[in-house]
Amino acid sequence: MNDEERLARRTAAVDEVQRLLVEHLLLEVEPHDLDPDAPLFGSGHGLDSIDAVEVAVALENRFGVRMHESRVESVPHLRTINTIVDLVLARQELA
Amino acid sequence: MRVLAVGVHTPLGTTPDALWDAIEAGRDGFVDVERFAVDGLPGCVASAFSAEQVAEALRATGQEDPALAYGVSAGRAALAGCDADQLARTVLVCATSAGAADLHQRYDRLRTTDPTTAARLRRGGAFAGFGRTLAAALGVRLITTASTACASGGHALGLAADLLREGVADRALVVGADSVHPWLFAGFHSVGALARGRCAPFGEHFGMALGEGGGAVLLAAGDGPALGHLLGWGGSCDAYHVTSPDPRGEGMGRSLRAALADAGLRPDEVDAYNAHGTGTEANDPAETHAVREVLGQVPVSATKSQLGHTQGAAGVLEAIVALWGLRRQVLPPSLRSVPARRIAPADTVPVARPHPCRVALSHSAAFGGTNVTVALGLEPRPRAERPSEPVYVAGVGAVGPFGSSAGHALEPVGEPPVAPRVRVPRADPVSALLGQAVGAALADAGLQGTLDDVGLVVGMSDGPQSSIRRFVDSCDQDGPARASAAAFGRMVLNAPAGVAATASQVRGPNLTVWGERDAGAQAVLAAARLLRQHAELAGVVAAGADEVGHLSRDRAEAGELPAPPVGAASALVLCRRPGPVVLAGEATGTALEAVVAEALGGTTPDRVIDAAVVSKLGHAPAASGALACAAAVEWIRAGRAATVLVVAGSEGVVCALLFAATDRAIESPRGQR
Repeated sequence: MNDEERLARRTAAVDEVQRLLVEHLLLEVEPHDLDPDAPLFGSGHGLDSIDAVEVAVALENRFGVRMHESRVESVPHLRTINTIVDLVLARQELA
Repeated sequence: MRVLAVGVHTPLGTTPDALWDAIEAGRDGFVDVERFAVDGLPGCVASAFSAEQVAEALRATGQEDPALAYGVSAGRAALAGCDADQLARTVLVCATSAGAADLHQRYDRLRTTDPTTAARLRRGGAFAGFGRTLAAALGVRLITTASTACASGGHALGLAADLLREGVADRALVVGADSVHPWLFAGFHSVGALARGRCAPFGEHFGMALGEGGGAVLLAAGDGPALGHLLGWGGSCDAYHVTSPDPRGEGMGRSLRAALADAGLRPDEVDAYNAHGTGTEANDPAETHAVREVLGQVPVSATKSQLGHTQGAAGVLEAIVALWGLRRQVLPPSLRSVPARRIAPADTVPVARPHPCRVALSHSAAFGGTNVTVALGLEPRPRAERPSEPVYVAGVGAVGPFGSSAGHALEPVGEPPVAPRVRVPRADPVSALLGQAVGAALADAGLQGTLDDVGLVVGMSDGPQSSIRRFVDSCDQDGPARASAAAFGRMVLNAPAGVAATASQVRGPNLTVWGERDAGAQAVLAAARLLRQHAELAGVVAAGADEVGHLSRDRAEAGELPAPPVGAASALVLCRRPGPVVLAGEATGTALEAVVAEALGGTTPDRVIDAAVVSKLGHAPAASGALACAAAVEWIRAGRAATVLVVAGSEGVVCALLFAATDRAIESPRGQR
């Protein structure tokens, strides 16, 4: 896979994660307005531990990535959209 | 209000004395639920009936759903001493969180495969017909159903108290009922609230445990013999979070104070406190702070340690237990409250004990941040008669496919007014619509900031269908152990009221009434009574809201609706401060002509709006009643009519409201009948 393909895959994954977050968390923003590097929890979106579980289950269902922590919001992969995408891409490369 | 009779249907007893004996003896109803298994959960412990007991309750009451059966059973017991004439003068206020959950699930499974049975369930008691079904079985006239999740029972007692104070009826029967259901276990598991096994309110183990049952209280106005007295009630909204209470207990504290004020009690006159006391990590410390702050040292009993969390029945059953404690001069216990957790009341009554007591408070709290407290006493307390103050309309708001003006939607004249857009973060469709209508009405009334002295009464019909759909789909597809926690918090009928209250910081009493096509109008009537009867309130917002979802689409496809379903909401700000429009008359009952005549009081209105006509713009069963009222107010303000009569009705229930230009209103507006 060359850099161009890598970038295209990354962009597609970011798009999809943004859409998934807006849809599942009922966020009042356009998916593209979510900053991929901004912290998701404890930020201006007002997301809490219940939302973190919601996101974790949605990500598992959509991408097959698993997160097994009792306190899901402390999972490092859920910190930002880009950290979620890192995990998603790593999983896709394994598959 | 006198308590004339009570009825109970619980795993610990089906008479109040049997229930009390079990409570005093320190027994609890917890068992491993055998009626169903919930995949992926280690086990389901609840205070529940056996499969045989449920079958017997269904048979004895002729009902198809456990919650309906428990409600009918408890209601019949409370009405046992009434003759036909007394029954005819008794009105019913129901309380339930999930309603007929078994029928709801059956409906969901049959809606595509067996449309005939599905239609029967949909038109019967599966959804908003819960109250109508109970009323028919009990032979009494339905007013409405309070559905504020775990606080429903307390709110139903409050609604009934205000009805009696206003002379709407001589007697009011309050029936609370809910059953345990796989969805409830999945939902409370998903939000991390379930205990491992029995719950231990204020004890060192966190978590709540479910329960089921029915409770009924027959109340009467006036003097005479009584088992005890409902002295008053109060409510508040945290306006903080969908599922978590304000950890400082500030909202709960305001609810306790409101109940004391309504009952004319000083804090030091309270001898016993029946806690919401679920056992969760979030509730118990918040409630501890509130009790310490408002009541100081008071013995705290948590009946949920014995009956589990009986949801919509809890407020009624716990009021009955609190009252029986006063009658027996014994404090009911909080089982397993010792060893205590770090933040807990000093005296949690680990075992029942004799105690001189004349006054008790019973408190409930719920998802959506709503709180309600009832005050019970052995003796009546004289309550100052409230002068019949007129109720004015200070603002209106609407949102729907027709725009933001109800009056313009019904009769376009000139350019439609444009309402400010209100931000309602993180909301499902019905919550967003309600939040916008409430915000627009408050802006129209010029109210902003933190509104501790403004209440909110919302009418719901098919409710948050999309969140219900999402939750049930997540149970079916991901498994109950991975059900959507966010959807669970949003699917209770009163979640939209919580969202709207939080968005606009409306922190007074927060109620949701669940009805069919009368829900919006019932909300306006309940709001007017609330405002007149609670002197500390400056205003009450009344609203109705609907979204389009699988249930309304099913109704449309079956040809049950007058027009395609639409998402819409409307709200009115009722207030004490004089304004240009006054609520000049109101009535509710079964016969259209009598109800209209009572509301009109001999006058002839310039215009009449039938909520059924509003529905032709698009079917929005709960919003239409509020929308008709908002349109009436807009027309009067625009000088297009001086008096407008609004009529809204459902099967067996009719509401009529007369709005008038204040300068044209008959000398003394007819607040009280």
